[in-house]
Amino acid sequence: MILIKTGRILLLAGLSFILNFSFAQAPATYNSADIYLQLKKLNVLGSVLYIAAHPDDENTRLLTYFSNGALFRTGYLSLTRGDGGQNLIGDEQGIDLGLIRTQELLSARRIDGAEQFFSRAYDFGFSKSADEALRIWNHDKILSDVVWVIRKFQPDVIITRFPRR
Amino acid sequence: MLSLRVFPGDERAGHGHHAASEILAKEAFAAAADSTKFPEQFKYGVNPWQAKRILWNTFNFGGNNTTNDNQFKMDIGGYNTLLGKSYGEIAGKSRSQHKSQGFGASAQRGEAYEYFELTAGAPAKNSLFDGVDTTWQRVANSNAVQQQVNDIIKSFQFEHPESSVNALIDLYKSIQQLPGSYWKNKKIDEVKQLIVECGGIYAEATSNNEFAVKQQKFSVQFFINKRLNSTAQLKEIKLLNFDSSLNTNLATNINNNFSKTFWADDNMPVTQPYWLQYGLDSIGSFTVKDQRLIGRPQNDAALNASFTFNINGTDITIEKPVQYKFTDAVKGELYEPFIAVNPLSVSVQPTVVLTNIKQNNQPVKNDEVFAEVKSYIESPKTKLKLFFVQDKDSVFIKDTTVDLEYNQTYDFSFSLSKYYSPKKGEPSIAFEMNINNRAESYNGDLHSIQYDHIPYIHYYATDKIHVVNEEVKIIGKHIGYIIGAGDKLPQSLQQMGYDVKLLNEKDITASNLKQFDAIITGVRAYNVHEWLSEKYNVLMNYINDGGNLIVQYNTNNQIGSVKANIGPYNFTISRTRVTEENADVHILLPENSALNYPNKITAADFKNWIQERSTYHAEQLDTHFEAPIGMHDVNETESNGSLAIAKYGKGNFVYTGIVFFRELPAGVGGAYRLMANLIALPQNK
Repeated sequence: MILIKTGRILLLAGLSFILNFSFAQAPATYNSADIYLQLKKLNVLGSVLYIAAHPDDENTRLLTYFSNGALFRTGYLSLTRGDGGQNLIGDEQGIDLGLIRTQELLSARRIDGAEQFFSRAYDFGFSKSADEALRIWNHDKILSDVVWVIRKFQPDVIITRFPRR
Repeated sequence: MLSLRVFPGDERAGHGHHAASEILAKEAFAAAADSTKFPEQFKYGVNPWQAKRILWNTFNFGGNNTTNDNQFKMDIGGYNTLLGKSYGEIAGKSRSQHKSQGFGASAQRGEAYEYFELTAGAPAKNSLFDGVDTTWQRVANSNAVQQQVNDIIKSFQFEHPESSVNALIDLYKSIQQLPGSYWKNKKIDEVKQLIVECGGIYAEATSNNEFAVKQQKFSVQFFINKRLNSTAQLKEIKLLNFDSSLNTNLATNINNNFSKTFWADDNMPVTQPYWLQYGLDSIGSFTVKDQRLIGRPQNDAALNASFTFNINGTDITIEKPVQYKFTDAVKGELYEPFIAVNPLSVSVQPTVVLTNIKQNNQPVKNDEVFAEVKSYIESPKTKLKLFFVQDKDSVFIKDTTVDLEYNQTYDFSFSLSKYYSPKKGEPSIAFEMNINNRAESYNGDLHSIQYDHIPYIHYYATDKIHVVNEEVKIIGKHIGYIIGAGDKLPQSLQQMGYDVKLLNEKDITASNLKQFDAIITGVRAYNVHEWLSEKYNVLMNYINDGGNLIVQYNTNNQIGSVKANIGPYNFTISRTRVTEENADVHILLPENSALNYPNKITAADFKNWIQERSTYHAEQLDTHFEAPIGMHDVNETESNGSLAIAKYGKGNFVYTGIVFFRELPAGVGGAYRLMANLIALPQNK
């Protein structure tokens, strides 16, 4: 039997709090001050890559300064897409959450002007030791990805966020 | 200042991922420059690269100060006149995009020092870029180019950016004469973009169709306007098989637009985020087979249109993604990704089925599965065939003829046990239909995620049905559920055979709660609902009168007085968690009802858990609490705070950090049995 638009009620899948309206996909337009800043950037041939583990680990103000003040080519390599984080705006977990946080990072980059990169590492959830993380990620595979991004991006300076434990 | 910094204010400052990222970055700093390391990458056009230095950006907050005055420091709190903002003001907006993490941040003004400690490479004394030439001097033969750039900057007219176009075209040609290099390519792109901007050229390609549906038509609208008094000819537009030679002289601020109809043929792949195409390699990393995709944040657009303009005799080609464009009556004009989809999307509800439920020792049949097919085509009198798929076997369930309409869903239902074999893998379903006289089978469900702060997200997944074959005995029928930050437990509880009602603030009254055998709060409910504290007395009376209140984990950082407002007796919430999903679970109170009634819990019930055991344990338990189980991660001390139970009046209070919200939707049988026992905790005489 086929039912069209059944009355079967599924429990609601969570509540959406927030949000302000900012629609990031509309084509960008530029005023003369934007253009002037870009002209000045033509004279800067330097690049910096920030590397950390998750979306939200990056030092946003530093990226903003590099990109808009120093006018360097600026990138953030987040090893993971933050799949294992919390979700305060809905019930998505895991891969779904990683998709959301990927877009949140891209949205942040559209504001601060830096570029965004990821490795193949999956954020499998909280991990107490670097050894465990490197074993589960597959150390060689993720190292290869970081090397690849460095070879492509060719940063003059690399900056990290975290102390070794 | 704290809000702009990167550490979440919790134990994640010590997250193993963080230290691992630092280790990998340092190793990669050396390995990237080593031609013997990962040489297989070189065939994709990269070369060894030696960065000048790698530094650790130290920090000072949360009582943890890793900065000191021997480190290199710089002020990044400046104000940018061209942007009209300080970097801290911009950063506040950027940081606030992490809405899923609740990282809304305030704007920062005033000086702000960042500190850096050298990890490897040459030390930095005066600048992070000491020893790096960041001018055109690093590009051979670029003296003339440097002069051209300076002249363009000097003569830029703010009211007439178009007056720079000719000089930019000359610059473009000069840079093209330079020998090939990284910076040549970067600057060529920047100049091209500036030519378009200064020329006032606006170009877009949009569709008013949400999707390109395979084997269907879709339309694309091209729109071009040269908004300034520059000289430009629109030479050519290309998209798929459409290649126009136009040679249209663009008049100033006159719209040029036209539509074309396209066909989504077999050559157009269905859109899927590249890292999800082949899924996860074990649990630790995504499988990506094309090296060139690695590192990218996301896929390129499904379709890109190219626009070629002739400006002063030079062709400038720009690519624009085809976007889905529409106007929402509330939100205004929206541009969203335009993607290629299958004609049918197939989903299954529920995704967990329990085949062996006993309520008060009577078997309960609750194995009806709904196969839902959503149509993205208009197709009258279409025969759909439904198949039950396990491993490589497809079993025909039924067929029917239906008038398919766009964006409509059609449900089939069937009894799982009629087709399911416990010996084979997790089942899924597929639909087959004839489209354009060809039989096609579809099993993917198009998942869509929509939030206002980010573009629409779509991806395909094939819904698997997790079948729980373990016996799950349940006592009681009526559950009240207070949704917290969001979890899928209510659906899981329904599958167990309970009648679940969602409760809001106004539903928490003494008379209304009487109907429930148990009330369960969703994850972090006390963190997100301030009103729950006000309902404390009602909930305690509910327990006192014989009800069971089960509180899933909350974090302690935003609750004023946890001790007073959650349970009848004192406890605190710690950051203790057990992250190893296979950690041994020790039975501390073998006689405790939670481990015996109605389901006898044994070590087998803690097998095949996913991701972790528990989080945010209770501690400093009042003596009224009983803690029936203990566990710990390797090299950590045992904690008995994952499950704390107290009798109060005639009923029971439970606080649990056990991650039922992960295990139940994943179909972990033991977690279902344990949850059934918590709901069934017997009344006290």
